[in-house]
Amino acid sequence: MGTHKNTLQSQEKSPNLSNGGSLSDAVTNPLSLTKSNDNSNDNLNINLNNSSPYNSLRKKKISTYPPGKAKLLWTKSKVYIHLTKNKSDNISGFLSLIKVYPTSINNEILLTWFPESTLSNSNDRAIFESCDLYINLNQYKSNYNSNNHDNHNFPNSFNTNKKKVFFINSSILQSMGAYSFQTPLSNIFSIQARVPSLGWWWGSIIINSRSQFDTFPILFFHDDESISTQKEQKFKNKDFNPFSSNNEGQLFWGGDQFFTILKKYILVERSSLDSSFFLINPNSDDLNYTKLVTTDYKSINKNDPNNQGANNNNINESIEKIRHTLQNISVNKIVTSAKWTILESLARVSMLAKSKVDELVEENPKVKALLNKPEVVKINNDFDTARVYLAKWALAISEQAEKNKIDLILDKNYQNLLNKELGGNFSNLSIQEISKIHRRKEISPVEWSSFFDSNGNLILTVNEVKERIFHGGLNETIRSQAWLFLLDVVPWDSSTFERNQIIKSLRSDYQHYLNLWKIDIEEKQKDEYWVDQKFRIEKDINRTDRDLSLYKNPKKSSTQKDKQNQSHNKDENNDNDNDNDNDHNDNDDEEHNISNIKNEHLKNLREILITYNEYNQNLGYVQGMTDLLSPLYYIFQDNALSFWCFAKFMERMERNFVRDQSGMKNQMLVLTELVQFMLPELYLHLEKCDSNQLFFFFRMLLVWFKREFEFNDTLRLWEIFWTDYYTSEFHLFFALSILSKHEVIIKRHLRQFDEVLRYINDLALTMDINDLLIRSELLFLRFRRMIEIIDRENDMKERAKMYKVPNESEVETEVETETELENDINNASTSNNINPRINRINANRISKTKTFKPSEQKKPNESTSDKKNKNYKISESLRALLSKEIVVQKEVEREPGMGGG
Amino acid sequence: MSSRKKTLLKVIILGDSGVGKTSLMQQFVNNKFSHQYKATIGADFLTKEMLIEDKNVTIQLWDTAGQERFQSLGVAFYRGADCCVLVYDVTNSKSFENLSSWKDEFLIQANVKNPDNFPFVILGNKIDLEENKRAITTKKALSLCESLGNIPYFETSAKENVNIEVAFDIVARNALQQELENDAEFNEDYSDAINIHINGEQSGCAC
Repeated sequence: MGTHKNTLQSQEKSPNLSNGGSLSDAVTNPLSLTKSNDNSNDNLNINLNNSSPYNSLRKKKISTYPPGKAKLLWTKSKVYIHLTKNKSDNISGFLSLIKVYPTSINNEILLTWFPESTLSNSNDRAIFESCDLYINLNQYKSNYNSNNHDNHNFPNSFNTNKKKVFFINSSILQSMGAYSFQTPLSNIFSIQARVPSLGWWWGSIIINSRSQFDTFPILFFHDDESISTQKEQKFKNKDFNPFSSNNEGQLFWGGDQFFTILKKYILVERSSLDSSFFLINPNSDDLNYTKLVTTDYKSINKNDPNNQGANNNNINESIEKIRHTLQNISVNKIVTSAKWTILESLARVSMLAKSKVDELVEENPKVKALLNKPEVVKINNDFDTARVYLAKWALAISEQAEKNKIDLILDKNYQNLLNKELGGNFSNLSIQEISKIHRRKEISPVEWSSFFDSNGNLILTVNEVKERIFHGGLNETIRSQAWLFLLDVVPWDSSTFERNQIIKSLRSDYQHYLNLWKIDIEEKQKDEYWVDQKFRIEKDINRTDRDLSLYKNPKKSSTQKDKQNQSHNKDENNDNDNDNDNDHNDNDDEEHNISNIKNEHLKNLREILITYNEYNQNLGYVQGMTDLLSPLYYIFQDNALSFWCFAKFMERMERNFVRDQSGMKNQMLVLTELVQFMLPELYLHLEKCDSNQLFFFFRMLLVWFKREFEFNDTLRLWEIFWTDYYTSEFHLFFALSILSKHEVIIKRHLRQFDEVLRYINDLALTMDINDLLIRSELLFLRFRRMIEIIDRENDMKERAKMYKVPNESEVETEVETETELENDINNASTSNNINPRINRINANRISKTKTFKPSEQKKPNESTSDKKNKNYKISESLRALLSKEIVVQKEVEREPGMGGG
Repeated sequence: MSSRKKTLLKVIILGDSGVGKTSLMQQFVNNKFSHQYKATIGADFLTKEMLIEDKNVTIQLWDTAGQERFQSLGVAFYRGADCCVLVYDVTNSKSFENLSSWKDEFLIQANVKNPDNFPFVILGNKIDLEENKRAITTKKALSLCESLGNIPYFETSAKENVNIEVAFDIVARNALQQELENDAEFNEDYSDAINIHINGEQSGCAC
């Protein structure tokens, strides 16, 4: 920080610096004394230093450009715009700085973005790509050299003194494709950066124009695809110095490269009001304002932490001061203009989905804070801890979990053992580990039929087929065949003929249950419970997946498929049948009129559920079942088959719906155990947030993530769960994978029950199913290995006790299994082999096992020697997760007169 | 002190499945209505900033599943509530008959200190539907509200945004009153909360 201090001093001496106006205010303000410790002003000195290359650049001799060419100063590939939430709508492009004219008269540098597809000419593209690599890495190299004396880590090609210059055809600037934009640097008011660490997979920038009429899309840096970013990351890792204070917590991302280069060409000033904001060529008013407020705000936070009781008055005074300040400057330029620029850009970036925009405002606390005149609101908000209390049964779960906790969270000896054998920190999945695994292609109809011989007998083993389905899923056209097997409606070891026989008898069985209510419907209408159930069903089918065209009201005459179905579906409501041809004009209200369901498929759903109410009288209909039936019906569009698939599916789902909710409670309890076992740090954090009972998983577990994913993703997910390939409880590992994926954000940003619930609920329809499936598979494999290792360890201890062998070697045994996990899965790899640096650190850690002091999770009354001899006992419920046997829990008998609620 | 504190009002919306709890909330908070709301599973909440008697408050509306058995989950969200909104569907007499059991259930589960004074508001929703579908007259509803302890009553349409603002204004006022009463009891706790917070506050952001 030495240079920083100097800068400050020099500023204080020369308050006439263009941006020094604020300092005179700051100096007169007694609260600003703490300012010299404030890191966020680092940029200031960088800017001052960097202004010199900017000036010298102008003075350089002006050479002429080749005719028709413009100079590409910098570019970056794989910068995306996200048109919608849907990945396939993302457009990859180049973000570039281009200088069109060499003259000082027209010295404008353009910032442009255009889609990759614009560069149809492969030469052009090659220029951009090599410029991307060359400039960015040179940039890093020169920074690196200024900080380090030796540069042995650099490949020779970067040691060349001769600077490459990149020229592109000016015509590119005229022919940029849709969505592209270009703007002179001087036209940019500010750039807001969101680094990936804020909870976003990709870092992004928002460019705000000085003109109210220019809006630019949000640019996402897909660092995982960008070669230059990855290379630089690699260099950085090589140079990684764990003792350097500069590196702490700073995640390197593509935006860093952008800002580094930008600073060479224009003054970039980080707003100290909101450190994600960078003002471009700001005038003194802007700076003045931001500094003033920040000074006040920061100094409040730095109120003497040791003086706990006495400073309420101070705080109140300070709040008053801020309030006062904000009131007086409410017309200040930055508020009006920054706020408006943001609002305008958000509102008018019409190509972005509305949801994306909401997300941006909602989830970026910074933007929101700025919009609401932040500091006052924020401080006041935080004083109010919105307490959310635990429910009775949640309390019971928490208590039970609390009891188990000592045993459930692994002690350090076991943790070290697991770290050693599994590589890295056992509870973290590394990016490398995940990126090594790919999901396979879905099973095509051709592949599917190759699994059977000419009689329709399976020629693979059941396990082989399940493995294939587990890793790839099924093409939609073969689901109607394959799901019958997966749901155990027909046996795997049957021929086509046998299956046809079975299906035939299932159809007549269905007819039997159907007749139970349909034949004497008038009698049924007298049964209050039955009428109630029917009403519930109707209410719910009316609001299940109505966005699918299958379930919308018919606008024209019935489709062919409908006609096919009508053979099995003589509708009970004959009075409605005639309506079908008359409802061309039905409006939205009609579509949702419960008493007058017109869509044939909705009628079929109703029929199936009423029949199920007859078939499983104890359970009947419970909310959520429509969500389970709808995908089955969508695939089969055949009442009898849908019914039997549903009935079979319900065998394992019944426990979710029982009246006393014990099935849900049990699963959530097992899940909490699993989180403690696999993600202990996260568990402790959730405990602090009153969220360790994992309420937020209720919806996901109840209907197997149906509400969290797009319809087609749900189909894929379910067929994978149905395989029971690793375990019949794979859905719990899938839930775990969601937590694992969001662990960092949850730990860093979420503090309260309602915040956690909000965050998890809002993940709906944003999650990538394949990513999570890979994670859940890795988590399961890791879980299985952990149990093996612990069992083996306990076994060793037992034997050691029996033979009274001193248990010296208990940690240092059997390393030959180290690569087993790796072999468990194609191409899967532990971080062990990938990151030698981490490996070295681990090796260190293990060699010091005995003196290693854990910094977290230390329980107060826990003495190490006690723990050491105590075996960690894997709970039965955790061990049961290794079973492929379906867990069945039936509803207890319904007493006469009991309602269906 | 409390005048400066940001006030969070927690409101629970209860009622039979399908009476329009989610729709009421969406209309009030987001000014939109859709036929497409799915049956609520689990629990969710929305928040809205309001100005009540010159005081800025944040109202947090909790929506839970309407089927009774899922209320064993809902319980988790009842606690700390400042007001409870009971909703029925004016075309569904059963949902009306269940109002008083929803009220009792809430009082038991939420473990309210002064059950007699705890604020409720009753909403009869779906008044946009044709008159002939209506099962409960205003008179009948008013007399029930009176018998349950002079509970304020509004007839609403989430679909056509009838009486929504007015109703939730009363909800918020009553909740605020309740919150202030609770506040007095918890006053001691606040000074601690403040200090803990200040010490834990981090400044700036790495970026």
